[in-house]
Amino acid sequence: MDVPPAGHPVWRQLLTAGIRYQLDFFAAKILLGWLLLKVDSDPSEEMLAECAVSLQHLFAQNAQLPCVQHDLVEILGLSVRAGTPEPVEEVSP
Amino acid sequence: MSGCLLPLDEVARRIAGGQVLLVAGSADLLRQLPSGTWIGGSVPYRETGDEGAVPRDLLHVTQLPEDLREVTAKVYDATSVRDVYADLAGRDFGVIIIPASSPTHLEFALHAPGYRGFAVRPLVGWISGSQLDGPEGELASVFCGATGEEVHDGAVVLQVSLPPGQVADVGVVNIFEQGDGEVIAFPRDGFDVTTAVVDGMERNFSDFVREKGLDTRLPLVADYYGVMVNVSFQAVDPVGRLVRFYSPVFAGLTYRHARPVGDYAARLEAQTPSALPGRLVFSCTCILNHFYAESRRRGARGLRGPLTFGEVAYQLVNQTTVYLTVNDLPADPADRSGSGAAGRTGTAGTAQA
Repeated sequence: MDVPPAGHPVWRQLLTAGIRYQLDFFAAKILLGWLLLKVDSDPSEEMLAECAVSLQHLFAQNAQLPCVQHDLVEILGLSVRAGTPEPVEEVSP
Repeated sequence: MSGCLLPLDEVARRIAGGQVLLVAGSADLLRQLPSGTWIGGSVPYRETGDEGAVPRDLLHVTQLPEDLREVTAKVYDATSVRDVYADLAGRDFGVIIIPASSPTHLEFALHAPGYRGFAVRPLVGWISGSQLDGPEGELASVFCGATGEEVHDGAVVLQVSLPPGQVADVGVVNIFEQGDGEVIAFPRDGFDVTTAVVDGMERNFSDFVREKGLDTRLPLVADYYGVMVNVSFQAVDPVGRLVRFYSPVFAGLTYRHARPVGDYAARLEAQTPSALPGRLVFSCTCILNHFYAESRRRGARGLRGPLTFGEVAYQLVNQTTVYLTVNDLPADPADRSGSGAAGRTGTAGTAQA
């Protein structure tokens, strides 16, 4: 499964939706712990975009890992079920 | 098995033979090792296999796999350490050793999650220490075998590239989870705490710990998206009304005192995976687990790495066992779909309570 671009709403959903995904990728969980803290203290569009880029970069750099592939299925599957719209913009990492 | 105890001359022979080593032991012994592809750190106590005995004439050696594609050792200072993750770009993992209580230790502990490229590649390692009952002022050391440097304030990192088709994973054995007690927050980041916000009420944290009679063998625990991260108590000073931790607390995170674990040693044994996902390359264990389990026997189930004053699993962690495994990637991309148990095999992750 390909890693969605940083502009895909799934990354923003991870940072803001309050849904606790069942992730396997240890590094993603640690990073998300920190990014959620940053977004909580500064929920601006700029901060959300910056954190989405960090998250997407981590997944893209480790896309070959089975746990990352598992997490993509988890994230994108829930995203589809939640009716997340298609991405409206693409942000370069 | 991720390591063994060897005499100085045998370690020197292995270095001369081209082995890539992580070495832990007394600084006096580490200074006598020849140049080569190794990094090391002082550690005062080691798993021995013999009740009570600590063999000061031996070194703990972890040999990295022989088929590594590329290995580079690099020394950082308290400023350049912020590049440690970015420098792993294009590599497969790194091993870092930092001397306890050095400015670099404080810098890394407080700011690593904000460094460029944080967590993009696995970084494991340990905080080196000095003898607890040793001479006053004795400093912890790290060593870079490639350059012969001994550093008291800095970090030494081994940057490693694996053969194609292999990948490194980080695992953590943590016997703790958040208890049901008060929600604790702190107004600022740091190792030393005077004030905390306990269930919404600001108060002196040392007073709170003593009034509640908290068992300080059990850490505070924060939840990082399902990963439990411990902050271990170092000292509670009733006179200075100060609490000191082995790793920093962070403003914005919420903590709870850990749920009691019962038989500490048995819990450690039970939480350690009986089968690791891949080949074990490295492990290290917090010295507090060693003491609180009241055991100086060998590490559980082959995790026989050096004893530490803090572990690195991407960031600084406490009161855990950290390990790194190397796995073969599935040859068929279809095998990487991640659905079902196969997708979880080889996952970097935690074994937690």
